[in-house]
Amino acid sequence: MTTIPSEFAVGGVYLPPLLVAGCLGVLLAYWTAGLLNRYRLSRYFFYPPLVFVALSIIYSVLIGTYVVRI
Amino acid sequence: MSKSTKLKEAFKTALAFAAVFGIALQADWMNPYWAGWAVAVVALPTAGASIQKGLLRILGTIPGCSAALVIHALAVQDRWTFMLLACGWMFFTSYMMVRKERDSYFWVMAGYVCLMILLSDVDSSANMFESAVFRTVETVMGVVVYTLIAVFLWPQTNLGAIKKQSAELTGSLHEIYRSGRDTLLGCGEQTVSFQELQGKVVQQLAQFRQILQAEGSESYEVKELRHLWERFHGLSLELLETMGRWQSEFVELNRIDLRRVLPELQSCFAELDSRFAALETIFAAEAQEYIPLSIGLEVAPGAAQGLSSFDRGAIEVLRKELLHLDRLTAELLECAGELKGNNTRSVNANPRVVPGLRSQISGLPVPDWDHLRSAAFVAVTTGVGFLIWILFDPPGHSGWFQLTGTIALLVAAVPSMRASRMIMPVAVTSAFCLAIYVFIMPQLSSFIGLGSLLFGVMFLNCYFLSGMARFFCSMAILNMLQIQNPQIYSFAAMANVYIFLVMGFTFLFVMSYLLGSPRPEKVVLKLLKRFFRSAEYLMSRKAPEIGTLSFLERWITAFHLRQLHSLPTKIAAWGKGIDQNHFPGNPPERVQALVASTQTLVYRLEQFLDTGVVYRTENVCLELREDVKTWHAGIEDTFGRWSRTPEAERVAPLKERLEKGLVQLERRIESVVNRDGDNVGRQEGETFFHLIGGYRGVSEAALAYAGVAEMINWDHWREERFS
Repeated sequence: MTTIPSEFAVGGVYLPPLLVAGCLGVLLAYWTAGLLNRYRLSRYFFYPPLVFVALSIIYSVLIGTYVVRI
Repeated sequence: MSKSTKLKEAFKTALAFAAVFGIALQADWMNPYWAGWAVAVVALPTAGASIQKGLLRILGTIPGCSAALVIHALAVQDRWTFMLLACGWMFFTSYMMVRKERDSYFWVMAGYVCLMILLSDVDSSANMFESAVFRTVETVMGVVVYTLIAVFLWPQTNLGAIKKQSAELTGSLHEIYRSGRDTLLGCGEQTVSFQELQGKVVQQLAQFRQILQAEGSESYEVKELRHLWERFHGLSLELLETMGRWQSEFVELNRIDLRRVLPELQSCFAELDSRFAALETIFAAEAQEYIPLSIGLEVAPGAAQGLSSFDRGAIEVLRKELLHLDRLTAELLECAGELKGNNTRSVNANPRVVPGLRSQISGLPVPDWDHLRSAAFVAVTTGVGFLIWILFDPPGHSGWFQLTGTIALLVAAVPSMRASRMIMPVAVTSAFCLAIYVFIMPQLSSFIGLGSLLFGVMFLNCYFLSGMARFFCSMAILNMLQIQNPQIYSFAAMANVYIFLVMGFTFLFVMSYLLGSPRPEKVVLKLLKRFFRSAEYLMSRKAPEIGTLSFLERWITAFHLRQLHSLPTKIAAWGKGIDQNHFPGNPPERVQALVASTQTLVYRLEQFLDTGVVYRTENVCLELREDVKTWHAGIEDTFGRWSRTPEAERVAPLKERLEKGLVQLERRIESVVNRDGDNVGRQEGETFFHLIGGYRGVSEAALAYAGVAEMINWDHWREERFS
């Protein structure tokens, strides 16, 4: 895997890697929130909307660091 | 709607949609999509409803354009004044929109058009007047084209719908009355609960109003008699409320032999029966005259002697409600007779008026807290959108000010519709339309091709989608296809529009937290707290030591009364939105019982607040003052605790406390009445028993609420959860 950031080309349209990482991060955070709701674990958070934002950022950074290179 | 009707309606809308684009492009008008919007929005199932909405759209466009021109004239070089004036206008229009449902679309247009015209040309104000004129002309053109198509092609008329709806409404009111009468007399089985019947009538009343608007636009005859139809609607609503209050008293009347205490009860019910039957036939069949007979409902003196003071109070309250029913049914008959061209006159005497707390403060203008919050949400969202645009200028540019402000109006109009649920439909429909823009539109070379495409997408939208899904799809078609004259294609521009739409709706979701948590169960908890705060305040205003109220106190009282009256409906609306999969411990029946118990409390508190003259009876007053004060302090304290924690009072201790107070009060009353019975006049005695009935009613309703509250798992509702 190259360490240099590069755009994603979809049918000739170039998408910035940050956009891709951000979208994947939000989707993963959404899925995690669903799981936490399902097992009633979200009750341990003080303010879930902020947790959702934090999860999205954490996932985006992780994906950006280890998967798509932002 | 049947499949063939749906097909016809979709065809008509699609034809009008393609036609307005054709006309606007042929005439080389600015922004043809304005006309397309007009068609997409006014396309409703009946011609009358479309005409009515189209008319409101045209009328709302005029103040919107005027406000935009004034704001631009005042603040063309000052961005902050510009922002403040625009946000102020949005606050005003959104408050007016939520305040009165009847004119809400007019105010939506006044707000939306203002934002649109303000930024019609960001670089210069030279074309602003031209934009305002084109916007108005194209809106009128869109409405006219759709109306002509709707009138001449498979017309769907409303004619006769109002009479049909009135017949159904009176039938349902009769059903509620019959169920109440049978319960009271202890005969017949109740198959449908009062709450279900009430829900049905509320729905019918809302439909009645819509049909009246629609048919009034189509028929001169209905328009002429509009004031009578409005009166009929108002009387039906009052009758429903009265029957609600009446039925909420039944628990207290169980142990009384009503036939013995009120010997004329049977004849009263027979007369009310005849009136309801006459009402049904007046609307369903040919005009039939019915002269209402006078209803007497005197208490048998001998039978009343053996009753406790509280039972006599309950009888007085029952009499009052039945006499109220008598007046309302007579007025309804008179109104129905006038609508049918008869002059049926009631022989009833005027209703008794008891001056109470409510009558002291009636007529004072008070705002609704939720309406103010909704208006503030729209104004703040518009302002923040403006700041995002001028400070960061992300994709979408001025759309952050214009589109987010407009969609905020939509969120404010239906607060129970969660903004998070709009993001996905917008993303999917916009992606679909972006694909059409990229792959199909560049292949078209004439209007025949473009017109066919527009017809096709709109037809599919109208045939397969409905409600908000159709609205979002129409929005995607109009925003993503970007039809101009001459047509220029830019993928980058459209990709930016797509990103902006998704980001804009996400921004709205974040901003919707300004209105509070979007979780329905949290909203129900908050509304309940507000409900009991208002109940506590109103009870404190009714305490014996309170004298004449100042203007400010009357205004605050009016505000709390409005809260009290409107909150059960809001609790019911939000309660329906609670996801039962997440809260299996609180099934819908319990939520419904909770709503019913708050509604009963409202009825009982209103009855109690209506009687305000008992302390004229000085002898009774002085001796009872201390007991009454103790009762007041107790119930105020209970409401205060509920306003902090809705399940704070358990049934058993509350029952013990309230009953102890009531028994003490009853003993004191009996000793005073036995001693001074001859000195207490009949009117004073009746009013006195009304108040006693009020005490008991409030106590019973509070106990009923405590019973329901005990069954609900409040902690689960309070738990934090991702929304």
